Amino acid sequence: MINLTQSEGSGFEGNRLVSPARSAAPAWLWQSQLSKVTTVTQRPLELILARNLMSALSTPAFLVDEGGVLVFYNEAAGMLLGKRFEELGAVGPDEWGSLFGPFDQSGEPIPYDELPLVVAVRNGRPAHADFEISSADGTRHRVEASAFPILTAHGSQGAIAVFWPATSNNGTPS
Amino acid sequence: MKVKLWGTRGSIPSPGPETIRYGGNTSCVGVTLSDGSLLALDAGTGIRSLGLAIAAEPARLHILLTHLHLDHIQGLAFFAPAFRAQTEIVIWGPASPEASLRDRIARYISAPLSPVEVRELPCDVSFRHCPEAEWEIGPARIRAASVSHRGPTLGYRIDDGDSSLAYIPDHEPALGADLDTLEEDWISGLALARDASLLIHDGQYTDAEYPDHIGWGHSSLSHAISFARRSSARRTVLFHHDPMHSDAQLDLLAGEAQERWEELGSDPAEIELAVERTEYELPARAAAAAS
Repeated sequence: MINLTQSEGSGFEGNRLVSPARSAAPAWLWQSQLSKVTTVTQRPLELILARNLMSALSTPAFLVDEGGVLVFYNEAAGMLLGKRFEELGAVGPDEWGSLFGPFDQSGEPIPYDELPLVVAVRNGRPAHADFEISSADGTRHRVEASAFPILTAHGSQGAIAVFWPATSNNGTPS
Repeated sequence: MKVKLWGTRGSIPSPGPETIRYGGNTSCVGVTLSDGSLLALDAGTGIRSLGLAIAAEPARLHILLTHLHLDHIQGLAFFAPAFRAQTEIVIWGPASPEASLRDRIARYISAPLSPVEVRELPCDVSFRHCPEAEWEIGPARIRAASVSHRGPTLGYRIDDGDSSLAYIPDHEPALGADLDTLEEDWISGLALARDASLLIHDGQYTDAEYPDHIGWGHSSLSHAISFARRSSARRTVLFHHDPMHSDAQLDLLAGEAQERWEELGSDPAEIELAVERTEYELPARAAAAAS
């Protein structure tokens, strides 16, 4: 006989199984009854693990696939941009540049080819830059961005960029 | 396609009176394809019994390794067909930037860990890295994909006619991820398991045990259930039992799995815990039936 308790997990106490309290059926259960997915392909595992890690970070972080499509950014990045990833979804390289900039110190848009994420994906090399981005409400944020490629046994699968508040020469946030 | 579980235990062989029903041998699943071709999924200690059960034929067989942790290769040096000169064995496994599959396996099948070396095996053995693309063995289409575990690790899907087997014995898809809400293409292994006739999946830990083992590469019962539900596999077998779990404890875990499966609105007979020597015949597009 299974003993239901208020414990958060289920485990054995001797030969007695302790079970968790049950939650309501998750959203995908009823959603799956509305639209059945017939074909699923898996993202490269390295991107899956990168997304999982980024989801746990408090530093704004962005993930692009090998084609330069922005496939994920975390909650911290969403706060910076003023728009959650779940609201925006994946966007191609032409779109995300126009959505958020970035801009150089004179306010001019930075060419797409010079963005750290693009350099990292295309060249398979790390890249770093200092620029401004525009959030959804028009606020400009000066950031430093470090991007590095995700290289696997099957070649480059994408890149990660991490943003930091730009610092002045004396090391304080500018 | 016929499937037989020769080893269901994870981590380390666990023989003894307390594990005699679910079994103490480590991971190995025998698969007989529709043309009689034989595959072995992993080569834990269970493969020793598989080797003893098959006759001198077939002359050719394939071993598909998910990864090279010892509980998945320990039986290789004791696999009787490997000691027959007329046998051809093809061993498939994950690539690694560090060394070839042969060289990595040879670290185990060599002194001082083994009395024989790979080059001394009488059979005709070859080693192949699994391709990214689907390939064929006999009438079956085989797919391998990297899955979330420690080190280079694969899951497999075998399609033979309309029946399909997904084998993901060491898997922690919930590491840093919410399996109930995440988009399907972002869930490790889900594409392999989608609509499978039979899914054999990691179910090593209870929910209470999992927090002390986060990142070890295995699933809790809740994670395994969530994964199985999202895959829409017709039947799920929870596998890779923790060596600390006795038959009595696994009985309770099986009961909870079925109870929770039923609460999700499904037939509790669709989910069970792996029992060594259980056989399944996978009919086309229908629920598998255990013999």
